[in-house]
This record gives sequence, structure tokens and C-alpha cells, in this order.
Amino acid sequence: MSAKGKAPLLDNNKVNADLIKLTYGALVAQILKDYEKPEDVNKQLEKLGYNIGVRLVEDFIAHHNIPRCLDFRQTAERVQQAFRFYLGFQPAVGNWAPTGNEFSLIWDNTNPIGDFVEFPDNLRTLQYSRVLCGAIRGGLEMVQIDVAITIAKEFLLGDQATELRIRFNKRLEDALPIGED
Amino acid sequence: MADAISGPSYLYNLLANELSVALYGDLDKTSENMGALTMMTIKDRKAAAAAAGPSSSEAPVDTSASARDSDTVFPKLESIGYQVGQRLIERLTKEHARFKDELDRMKFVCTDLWKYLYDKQIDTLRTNNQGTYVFTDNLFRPLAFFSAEGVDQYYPQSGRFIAFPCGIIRGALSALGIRCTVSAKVLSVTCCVFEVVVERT
Amino acid sequence: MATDEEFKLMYGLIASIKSFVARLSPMELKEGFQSFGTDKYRLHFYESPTSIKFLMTSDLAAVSLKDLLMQIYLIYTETVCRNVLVPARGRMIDSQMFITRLETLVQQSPHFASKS
Repeated sequence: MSAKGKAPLLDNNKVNADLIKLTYGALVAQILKDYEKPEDVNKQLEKLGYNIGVRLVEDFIAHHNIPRCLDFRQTAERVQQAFRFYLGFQPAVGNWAPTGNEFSLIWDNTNPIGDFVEFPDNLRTLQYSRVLCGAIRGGLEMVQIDVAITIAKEFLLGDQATELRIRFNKRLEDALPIGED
Repeated sequence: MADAISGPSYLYNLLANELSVALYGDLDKTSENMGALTMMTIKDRKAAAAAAGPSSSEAPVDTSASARDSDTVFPKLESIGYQVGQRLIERLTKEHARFKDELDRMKFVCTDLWKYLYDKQIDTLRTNNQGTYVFTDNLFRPLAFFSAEGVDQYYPQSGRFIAFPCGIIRGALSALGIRCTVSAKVLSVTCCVFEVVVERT
Repeated sequence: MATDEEFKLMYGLIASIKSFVARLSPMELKEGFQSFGTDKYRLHFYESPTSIKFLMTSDLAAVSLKDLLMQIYLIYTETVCRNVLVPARGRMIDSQMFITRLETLVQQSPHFASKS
């Protein structure tokens, strides 16, 4: 599978990213059949993404020796890096809020998981990229960072890019057993 | 050991497995404690820690899984797999020479497609020459997440993870012009057998 | 002592030591609390960035088991996180794969046989 002149891992990555997109597309279609209302589907996608994120973050950290983030900018870099590892294609990080607690992940002229998707008009409220939001949220929650994510732009709906807006909410505290405080 | 199933194929397997768990999990509210749908968040953990202490939970046992497997979820997952298989084969065969015959197509599924999906080939392909083909994968990747040599702890639930690949095989073969039905059995811990029966018209 | 009770105590102990250690330090800590020793045993502690805590007691000859604990974390991700049938958190790990690999790893560790 490793083409000449390319790093095998990256090559491999690309191939599998296609597969992931296909599978995800078929899944969304199935969930749509089950739930019909796009709003409900969005919820399911977020949940699915969250579950994946929660597990993926452990894999990412343990196998790539990722140290703790010292600030939110580093967090942004790591998220970007994770996308490169698992989908073979990394987004740009940009549009930082002046306060430094909000940034965007931007994929110009594409959607990282939706190359093969066309949207019928009656499904414009379906958030195809919701699964990414869920995954990022789940992953970051495991490293005690609570974020809120919105889809600012969606390439599949005719925007120039796909843009996820990620806002830092708070640091999560460790759980304490009863009697301790 | 880590490299065999790390990286991107890990994400794929995770997605496929998560899919199975999500669909099966939805059906059974009683087994909500298991499966990925109800994975605990930090807040939940707090509550659980407060309520019980971290060690008190029993091991999750899912006895009803096999009973449900064949009913409604199997066709759903299978049809997701079918779509994936169909579209995948279009990509994979782009530069492939023309296929000679049925067996040639079966071989393509066992080698190229399987390698693409699971980074290994089907171990044996047998046929009775009357339209029945049996694929045996002695170390089926999706199952490798659950079990290892001599450990069959999750064997009862392993049935959940074969509907999707069954669909992929059927979809792939259909894109290659072969209509068939596909069923599968998990034989031992990590060994999965697919039976393909070609529809003759 | 019941296992439950022991877990709770251990949790409290670790939480207290961690916060105390951080408060004592004149500078921002990088690793924080890693182990303490008594005259009979040593307790080692490693916390993953995802705040999963690994603890192990050893004899006094084992000075640092951080590497070993990190390897256990790796096994944990491979056998528990990758297995969607195992709830990721907040439960006793009953995965036989995890247990088998953990035992092998620990028994092969150079610290295992050493007698103080």
C-alpha cells in the first residue's frame, strides 16, 4: 500500500480516511431513517462523536507521547495534530479571539468527512459535521478542558470552508470522593 | 504489538464498532450501563464516586445481546455495510484488470478489499463450485479488540460486530455483478467465517 | 478492610498529597507527586494527562516506577479504550486481556525479582 516517495503512514492515512467518510455517510443516512428529524439526528451524531473522542484521546496521548497542554494555544495545536493523525489532513487554526479563549479550525474548500456528500434542500438543518464537534468535545473533556463548539461555516451547505468555532469554557476539576472537600 | 492496529485503521475500527454498539445499545434500555452510549462523563464519575466509590460496580454482563442480534439491528448494520462496500469497490477496482470469472471476483474481495479494510487478507477461501464460498479469517481485526489467544471473555457479544462486514462483502460483490447472501459466524475467539451464497437466476 | 473502603481512602490520600505537594512548591510543578517511601514499602503514582491515576506499591529497591506505570497506561489504552464493549471509565476493569498483559509486563520488569 505504500506508494513510492511517500511516507507509508500518511499514504495509509489517506486511504483510510476515505473509508471513514464512506462509513460515516452511510451511518448518517441510516440515522436519518431512524429519527427523521434533523435535530434529533444532530444529537445522535454529537453523541457518537463524543464517544469516539473519549476513546481516541487516550490512544492519541498514550501512543504519541503527548504531554499536558500548558495553555489553550497548545490545545489548539494538539487538536490540529490529532486530525492529522486520524484523518490524514489537518485543519488551519485561526480566528483567535483577542482574549485567547476562542479559536477556529478551518478546512478551506472542503469538509474533512464529507467529500462524497450532497445535501438535499430539506435537510439544511442537518449538521453533518456535528460528529467532529462531539469528538473534540469528548477528547478535551478527558483532559479536563470544557469547551463549547459551534459550526460557523459548512462547506457542504455552500460556504467557502468548513469552520468549527471552539470556545474555552472552564477547566474541569478532579472528582473527589465523599467526605473530602 | 501496538503497531498492528494503531493509527488510522484504529479510528476506522472504532467507528465501525461504535456503530454496532450504538445501534444495539439503543434498542435495549436495560443494558444502558454497558456500551459506549452511556460512557461516563466527568460529572457522572463524580456522582458515581460519591454514590459508591470507584470499585463497587459489577462487571457488565450482557446476556440479551445474542438474542437481539438477528432481529432488527442486523439488517440495519448490514445495509450500512452494503452501501460502504458498494462504493468502496468502485474506488478499489478503478485500475484493476477485468475480472475473469466469479472466483476471480471472490479472490479480489478476499485479498485486495480485505487488505484495504483490515490490513490483512482472508486466510482461506473455499468453494463447493456450486455458488457457495466460505471465507475464513483466523484473526479478524474487529474481534481482535476484544479477545486474545485463550481469552474469550467477550465472545457472547462478538456477534454484534459481524453484521457490518457481512454487508460490506455483499455490497462489494454486488458492485462486481454478483448477487448473493452473506452470513457469518464467529467460530472461536478471534476467528470469523463468512459464508457467501451466490444467487443463481 | 473492604476494597471499597480502601479505594476511597487511597483516593483521598492521593488527592490530599497532590494538593499539598502543589501548595508547598515554590515553583509550578511539572510532574508533581510521584512516589513516597516508608521503611517497608514505596508507593508510586502516575497520572495520565486524561487524569487516570495509576498506583503501585513496591519494595524499597524500586526507586522509580514511572516508566512501568506509563507502560501500563499504554496497555490500558490498547485493551480497554479500544474495546468498545468495556465501559471506558468508572468501573472495575475486568478485561482478561488487560489483566494478562499487565501481569506479563510487571513480571518481566527488572524491578519484579529484585529483593531488598
